[in-house]
Amino acid sequence: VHAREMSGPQARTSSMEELYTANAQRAGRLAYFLLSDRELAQDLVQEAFLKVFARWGNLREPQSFAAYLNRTIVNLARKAHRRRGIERRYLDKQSRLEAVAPERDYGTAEELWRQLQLLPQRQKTAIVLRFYEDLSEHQAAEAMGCSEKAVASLVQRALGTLRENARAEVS
Amino acid sequence: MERELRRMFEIKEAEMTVPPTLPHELRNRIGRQRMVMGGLVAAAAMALVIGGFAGARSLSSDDALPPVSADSKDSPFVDTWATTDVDGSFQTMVVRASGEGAYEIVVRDDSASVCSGAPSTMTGTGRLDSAKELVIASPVLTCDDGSDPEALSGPPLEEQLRDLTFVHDPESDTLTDNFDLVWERAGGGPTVSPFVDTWTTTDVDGRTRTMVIRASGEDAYEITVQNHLALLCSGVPSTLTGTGQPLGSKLVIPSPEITCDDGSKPNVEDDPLFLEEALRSLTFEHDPESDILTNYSPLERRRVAKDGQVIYDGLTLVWSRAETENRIGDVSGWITYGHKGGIWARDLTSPGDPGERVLPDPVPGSPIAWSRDGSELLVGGDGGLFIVNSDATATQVTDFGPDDADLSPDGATVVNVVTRGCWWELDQCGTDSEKPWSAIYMTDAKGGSPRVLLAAGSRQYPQDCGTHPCARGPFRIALEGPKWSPDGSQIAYFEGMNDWGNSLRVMNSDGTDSRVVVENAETLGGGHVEGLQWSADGNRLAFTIDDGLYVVGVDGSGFRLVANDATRPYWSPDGSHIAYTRSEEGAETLEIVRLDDLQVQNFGAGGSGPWTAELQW
Repeated sequence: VHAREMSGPQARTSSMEELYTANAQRAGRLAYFLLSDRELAQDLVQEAFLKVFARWGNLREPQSFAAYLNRTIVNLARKAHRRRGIERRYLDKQSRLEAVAPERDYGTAEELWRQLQLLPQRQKTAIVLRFYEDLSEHQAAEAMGCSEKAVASLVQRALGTLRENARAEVS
Repeated sequence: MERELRRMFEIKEAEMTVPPTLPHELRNRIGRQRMVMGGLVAAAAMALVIGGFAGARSLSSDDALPPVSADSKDSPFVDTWATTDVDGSFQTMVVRASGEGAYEIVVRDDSASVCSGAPSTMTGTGRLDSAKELVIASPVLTCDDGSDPEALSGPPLEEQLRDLTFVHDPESDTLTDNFDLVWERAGGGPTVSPFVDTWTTTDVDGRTRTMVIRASGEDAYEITVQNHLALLCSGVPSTLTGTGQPLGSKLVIPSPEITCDDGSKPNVEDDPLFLEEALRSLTFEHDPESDILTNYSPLERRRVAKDGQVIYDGLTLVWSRAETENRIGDVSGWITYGHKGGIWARDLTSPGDPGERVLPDPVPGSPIAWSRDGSELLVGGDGGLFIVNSDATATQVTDFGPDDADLSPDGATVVNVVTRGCWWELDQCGTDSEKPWSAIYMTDAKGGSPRVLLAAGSRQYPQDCGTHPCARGPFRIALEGPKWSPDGSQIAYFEGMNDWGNSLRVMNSDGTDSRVVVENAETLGGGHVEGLQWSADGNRLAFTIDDGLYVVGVDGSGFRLVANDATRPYWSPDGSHIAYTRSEEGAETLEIVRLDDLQVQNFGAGGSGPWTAELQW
């Protein structure tokens, strides 16, 4: 028992380094895309690693570290989002934006980015997981804690909104 | 669109970088965490590995240590504890002393992976292994949905749970179990539930949806959610009810029910199971930091796809305590107002409810004031002032209109203002009868000839009137809005100077000793003054100037603005609130301002009117 306890933490520490290096950039960007705030994203990623490392010894499938990390980031982002009351402010912002009939120039990534920020949080999360993280519907559903059907529907709606806005721009 | 999204992400990736290797700060935080847990892991390993020996050790510890009183409230373990798993699932644990040094635990998990995500309950009894360790020899875990719990990996669940150990850290006052979960005191108990209150959320169409959560026995809560526009009920209002139990910061309602207020069945495309499924385990989560409740509402929006399939979209609803914008606790009584030819009354304890028509017959005007006992109402219209009884019989008091008239509190005398003449082109006013004239008259309520109580004088304005006729000589002033004080001893009124200022004055009811309460441009300005009202105790006056609602002491003290966009103010019977009509884009609503903190509550469509504590109609 004693020997196992001695070797355990060391093995864990070195694998932590590896796990961090392997996942950090991707995790940081995921957090940034979900929050659109770099500083918040930095803090959130640290928090997420800390949480997952803390439970690492008890995770049932060590090979799915990335999936645990994703799920933790999505959860933390959801909480941060809610705490900041972004949803309400977003609604305000959205109605203002609609009122002034924005230019919708999908020629630039910036405009698409801006449109993405206007999507409801869950739709945005589904889009980021599917098209940035390249997760399958199944994996995205796991990360979001919902059904695959729900992910499909969220993505559908988000794409619908984005396309509609793009068409509005063209016409 | 997908390609464009991927390209956008590629471009935006560059905007965000994190340290490429494990940052020191993070390493330190992990280190600190591990140090705490290292000891616990060792302790847990002991408990797990030594296994059967634990019981024997426990007995010998009991011998060695001072006996722990079985029902001692001082035991650090006896309490409700809570922890959050890494996947965000929430667990609560109640530890009770069950006598003779034994402890009973009940652990509830709102989403247990060993139950494929269904809630679980784990129970067990155990003993203190030392003052700091509670060991539960063989906890039993059951899935709330009746399925068999199954370990996802490793030895059977039973074995993994054996000798579940909780270690108390006196410094942080937390428990750590042998799965490294840290438990914090959930505190509270039923008396400080964060859930029990009236909550509101804004509906998709901007209206307010209200939810009432009540405690209904030990650890159980009853919820009622009123939805004025329920898609499931084809747009008629619906009511959702259910009971549930708290799980830490969550309140879970296992099977809520929706009924349509018109008695029809909720329409879910002939699939009742779908509704049941969608509503199952309705969960409200309380965020202590912002003190809001959130819940995911799966059937919030409904649309029909091209193929005719009906699709429901979910929405996360954010609920805030009703008191912040909809405080009702300290407002009661009735407001009466004229509407659609009748007299309507609104119960102020039910904001949002429509008024109730208390006098259906055509009445000759709008309410002005209640008699003290609430059995008679003074109304005024084009035909004059009338006293209306609860049986709808009316007695005409005067043929003066309601503007600038008031009935004495004893009902015996009417004061009113008569103003006539040409005011604006003084040099062109011809005969004396055309000269401006304003006076307050007093008339016996039973009839008789009016007599002049106070005739307006004239005044030379100090300001430069420019080319206005006032520049050419003394200006006649107009009297407005006389109102009896509640004890009948005084009459308050305005001396109107139109664009050049106003003064609010009080005189004895015999017309003597007129004195200024507040006056001149600084305070009353040149605005339009209206709606003068005495507070019930006779110490304060309320009125509006150009839609600003002001309050002032009869002695002139404490002049202040208490609300905007307000007309027709009426005091609450206890003088703590003022009701008024708010007009916005042609729509009138009833609003009430609380004077101590100027908090405003809107009661929805309607208007203000005299406010009575008791409605005897």
